[in-house]
Amino acid sequence: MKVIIDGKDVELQEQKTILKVAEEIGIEIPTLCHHDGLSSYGSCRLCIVEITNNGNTEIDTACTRSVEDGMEIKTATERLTEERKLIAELLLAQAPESEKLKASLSKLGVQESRFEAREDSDCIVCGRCVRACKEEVGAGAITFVGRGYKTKVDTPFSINSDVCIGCTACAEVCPTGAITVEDEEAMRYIRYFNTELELAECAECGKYINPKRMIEKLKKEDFAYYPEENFELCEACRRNKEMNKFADKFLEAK
Amino acid sequence: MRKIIHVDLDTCMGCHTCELECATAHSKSKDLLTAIQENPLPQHRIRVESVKGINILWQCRHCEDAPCETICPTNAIGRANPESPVVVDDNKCLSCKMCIQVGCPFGVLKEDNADGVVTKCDFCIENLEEGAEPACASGCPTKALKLVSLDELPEDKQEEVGKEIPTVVYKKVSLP
Repeated sequence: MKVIIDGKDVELQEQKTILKVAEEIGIEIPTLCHHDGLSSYGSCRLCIVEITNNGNTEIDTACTRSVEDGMEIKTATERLTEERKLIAELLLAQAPESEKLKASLSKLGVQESRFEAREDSDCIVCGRCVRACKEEVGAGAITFVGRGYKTKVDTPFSINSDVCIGCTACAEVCPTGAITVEDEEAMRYIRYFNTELELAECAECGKYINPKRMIEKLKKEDFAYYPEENFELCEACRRNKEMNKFADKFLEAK
Repeated sequence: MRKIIHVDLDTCMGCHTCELECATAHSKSKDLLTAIQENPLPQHRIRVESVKGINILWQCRHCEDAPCETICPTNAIGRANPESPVVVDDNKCLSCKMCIQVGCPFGVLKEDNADGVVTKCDFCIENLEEGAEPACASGCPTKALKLVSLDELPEDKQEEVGKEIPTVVYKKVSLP
C-alpha cells in the first residue's frame, strides 16, 4: 500500500488509521477525543484531513479513517486550518471556562468563541470517559444521555451508580477537566455523576486506599491469583513488607 | 545477550546518588543543575531505604509475569519482546491507577507528577539501545550497582538468577 502524506511517500504493510501513520512519520495532527489506549471515535472532529483518492477530494477524520492505496493526504492546508478553528470555537462554546481545553486549543490559536456559551457543564461530549469506563475498565457505569445539543454523559437516571468502581479513569482522561473526584475521609465523591463510593482502609497504617468495590471486582476477576493480603494494603505498606522480608533474608544469609 | 543489574548491598553506602541520577536521566534537560529547577521536579524511580540497618535498593524487578501488566486495562504496561524491560506507554495509560494501588507487589510504581500517568523504572531503555549502562548503575560511586551479563557472574550466583535471593536484586534484560 502506498500513500502520500504532506508530500511524503509512505509504504505500508498493514491497515492503519491516517492519524497513526502521520504520527509515525512525525506529522502532528491536532486531536482531542483520541486516546491511544481507547478505540477510535471521531467525535471532536479536530483531526480532519484532506484526502484525495481517484480524483475526488474529501475531508474526513484521521483517527477513524484507515489508509487506502493511492491516497494523497494533506494535513495542514489553509482550508483545514480554517475548519479546525471553527470546530475549536464550537467546542470551546461548550466548555468556555475550561483552562485545560484552552491550553489544548492554544496550538490552533483559539482562545475564545463567537458562539453562545453552554453554561451547565464543561463536557464537550467527546466520549473519552464513556469509552474508558466501558471498554477498558469494564465497569460501564456511565453513558451518553439525551439527544442533540442536550446530550451529556451521566449514569443511568442520573443516580448514584452501583457499578462504578471509582477508579477515576474518567476524570483522568477528560480533556476539559469537567469530571472531578474528591476523597473525603472514608468516601470518594464523583459529584459530576452523583456517585459516591466507600473507601477501604489499609490494614497496616489505616490510610484510605481503594474503593471497596474496586477491590471486590479485582478479587473476583482476572486478578484472582494475587495474594489476598495485598489487596488490603496501601502501596507504601506493601513496599515496607517486602523490604523487611528482603532484609530478613539478607541477614539470615550472612 | 541477557544482562542484569547486579546489586551488591555490602558495597552500597546509602548515598542516594542513584536516585539523583535516575531523576536527572528522566528529566527534560538531562542535566542535574538544570533539572532541580524544573517544574514539576523530575522523579526518581529507584529508592534507597535503610531497613534493619541495611541499605536496600528498591526498584522495578521487571517481573516475568508482571502483575502490573496483567492488571492494566489498556495494555499500556508491557514489553516489546519477552526479554526487554517492562515499560509504560504514557499515551495509552488512562491513569486508572489500578497498577499502583493493587498491581505491584513491591510498591515501586508511582504517579507521574506532571501528567498523572504511571511512571516506573524503564531500565533506561534509550541508554541500553546505545550500549550504555542505566543511569543508576553508571552514576553509582561505589559500583554497588553494575550492569553485567549473566556469564560475568560467578557460577554460584548464576544459578540463583530468577530465584528469590537476598544478596542481589536481579533485573533481566537483553541487549540488541
